[in-house]
Amino acid sequence: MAPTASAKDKDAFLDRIYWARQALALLCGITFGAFPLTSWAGFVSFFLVVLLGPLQWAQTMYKSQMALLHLEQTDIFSEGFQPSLFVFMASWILVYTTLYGDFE
Amino acid sequence: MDAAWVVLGIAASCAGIAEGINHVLIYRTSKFKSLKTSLDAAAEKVEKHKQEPDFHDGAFVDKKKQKKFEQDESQMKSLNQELTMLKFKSNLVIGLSFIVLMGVFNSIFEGVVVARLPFEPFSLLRNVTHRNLPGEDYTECAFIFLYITCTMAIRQNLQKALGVTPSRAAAKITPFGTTT
Repeated sequence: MAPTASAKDKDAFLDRIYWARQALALLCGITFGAFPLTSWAGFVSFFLVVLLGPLQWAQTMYKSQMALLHLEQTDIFSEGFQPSLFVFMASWILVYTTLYGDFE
Repeated sequence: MDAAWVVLGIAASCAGIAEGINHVLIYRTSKFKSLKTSLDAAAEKVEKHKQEPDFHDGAFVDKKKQKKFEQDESQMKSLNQELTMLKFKSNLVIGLSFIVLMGVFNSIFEGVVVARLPFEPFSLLRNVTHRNLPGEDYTECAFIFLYITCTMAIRQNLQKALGVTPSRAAAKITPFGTTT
């Protein structure tokens, strides 16, 4: 890694966080839909796993790299949050409907 | 049960068609490619300025450095405006087309329960989740809510995967400068 962090280096690191968050959101949606984990428990679990999980992972595994790239916790926290919420909700609803949806 | 997967298929198809239209009208043009490259380079310059040790509270103390920073930031804003205008026509075409399509799908799925929600939505959201559905079982989901959810999930990730989203430095650009 170059001593002066470029926007490209930052983008590359944050892209990993982004895709990890989308994969986690999909996994949570499928798992919670199948389990099933419903109502506010589902949303709270989503926030804990998908929002805090990558943050904790980045801080543990990449602390020095984060400092070099001038990354704050908020950068990691917010990276890919909005699309991950929709990925989670779509997969959660689809799996839950498939397994437990009973319409008259 | 099958209706939910049909809605997913519709959302995926519409997202694919929208990006296809964008590709034909915008992304494959040399003007877009050169603007995007220039904008990313300009955003990187501004980002490097911000990482310098004597950059505090959005400015440099040194007047020469401050002037250079302002010039680079101004260039970045101007490139961003050009890129926005380039995308405007295509987005307008797509937006109008999908308004018509939504009217068609809404009439097809009117009164049809497409999914069962694993949560009971709060009252404001029920106008969307339970739109045009009979009864008061608010875990029953209407077409429009599932469609919007699937579209938002698919389209943003599709654009990211295709590499047509702006760099993060460029994404921070506002008409008043850049956010931190």
